Amino acid sequence: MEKAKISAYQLFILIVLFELGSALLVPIAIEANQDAWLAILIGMVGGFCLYLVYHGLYSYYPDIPPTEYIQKIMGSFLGKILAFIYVLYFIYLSARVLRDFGEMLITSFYWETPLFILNTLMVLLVIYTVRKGIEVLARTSELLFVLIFLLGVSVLFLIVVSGIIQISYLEPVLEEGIKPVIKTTFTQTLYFPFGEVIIFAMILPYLNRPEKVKRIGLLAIGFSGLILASVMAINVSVLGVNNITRSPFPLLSTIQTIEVAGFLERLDVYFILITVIGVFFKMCVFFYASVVGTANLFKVKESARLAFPLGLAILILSITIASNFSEHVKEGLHVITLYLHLPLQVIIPSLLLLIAFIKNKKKKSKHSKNLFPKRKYRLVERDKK
Amino acid sequence: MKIISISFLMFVFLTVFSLCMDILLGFDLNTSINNAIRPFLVMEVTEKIIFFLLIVLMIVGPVRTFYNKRKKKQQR
Repeated sequence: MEKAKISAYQLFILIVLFELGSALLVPIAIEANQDAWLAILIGMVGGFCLYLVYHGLYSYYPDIPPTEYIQKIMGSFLGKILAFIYVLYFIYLSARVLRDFGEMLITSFYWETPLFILNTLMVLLVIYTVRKGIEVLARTSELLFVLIFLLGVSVLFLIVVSGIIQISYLEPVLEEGIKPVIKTTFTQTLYFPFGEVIIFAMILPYLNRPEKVKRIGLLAIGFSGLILASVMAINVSVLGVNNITRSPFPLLSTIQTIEVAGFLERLDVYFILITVIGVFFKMCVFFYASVVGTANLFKVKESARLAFPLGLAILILSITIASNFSEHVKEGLHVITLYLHLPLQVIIPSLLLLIAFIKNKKKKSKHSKNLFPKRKYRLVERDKK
Repeated sequence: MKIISISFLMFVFLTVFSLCMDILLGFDLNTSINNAIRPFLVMEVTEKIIFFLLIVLMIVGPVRTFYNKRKKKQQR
């Protein structure tokens, strides 16, 4: 593990930027129609529960990454296989985020530029950042968070001023009952973006104040959940459900509709800036965790040396992952959620926590049994005296 | 050399991972392999050059450090 420390504030920003990353890009929870914002909020509550599971594991093993404590919990052989699967999962998700980014740029702005070139540029930047380490990444996030915040506030101001929000689009609330909302939560929003916070299990050991991990994590998930829910509510109230289901990037469509005083329009650059910064951090966190996990698993001393070859693997994977954008989206919604997110974000961590709990309880009871005879012996000796 | 072999291993497993996802989506094995290879067959010259350069860069670094270590050992 790299000898680096990040502060609680930096962790908060990293989680927020990570959560917003590609979730701002795509129409999440749109299966719940105008109640998408509600599905996101319920997903956020589920995200809290998942984070508590990851935090529970962290509290048992605060100084080592999951790739190491999985081996302690499950045993060397099974643990190594499971840790390897997790590393592959992180790399795969990183490649998916890269593909999202490339497709977004191609669809909306760079029609003539090949996907490979755009992805190469992004991946080179991410490799450079990851080679510099987690501290540099955290400090960069501190800088860019201010920019994102200012951009977000100004976009919100312009949307309100231009008068394009129609609250009636959000009505009726719960038109078909709570069932579709719950279904959307458990098939989508719980895992993407909230369950993906499992990646921070790799980063938590770097925090300089471990006692703040729980509070900061929950706060960050809550903050990003509120932002995502309000962005989705604004998207629905500006475009309407029908337009959103047809739009691959609803936030872009919303920003494109801004027109203030007849001259302030075509603010697509706002969208580009927000998504490029978000995707950059999301990729960096995924990639950093993959590099550290691989180095930890294969006992590589300088993890930075793995950055370039693994980055190249991500680049190639991002091209081969799907033959077109619709296949990529369908795979993300139907296959990845069921076969990857559900077991690797929910089932396995819960099982690991259960095993860790039982193991630690046994250890404690053994420890107390060992202590008890000594005490007895001392008491007997004292009586004799 | 260890770095290259680890990366190669990861890449192979990742490709298998990606193919499995394609198969789970409903494609057969041949189609999913074709889908994975096709983007590299339709690359333009610039893309091919950049791709080649990246692969060379990936190989050159570890090979150079490997030979430097070997040289140092021989000198001792």
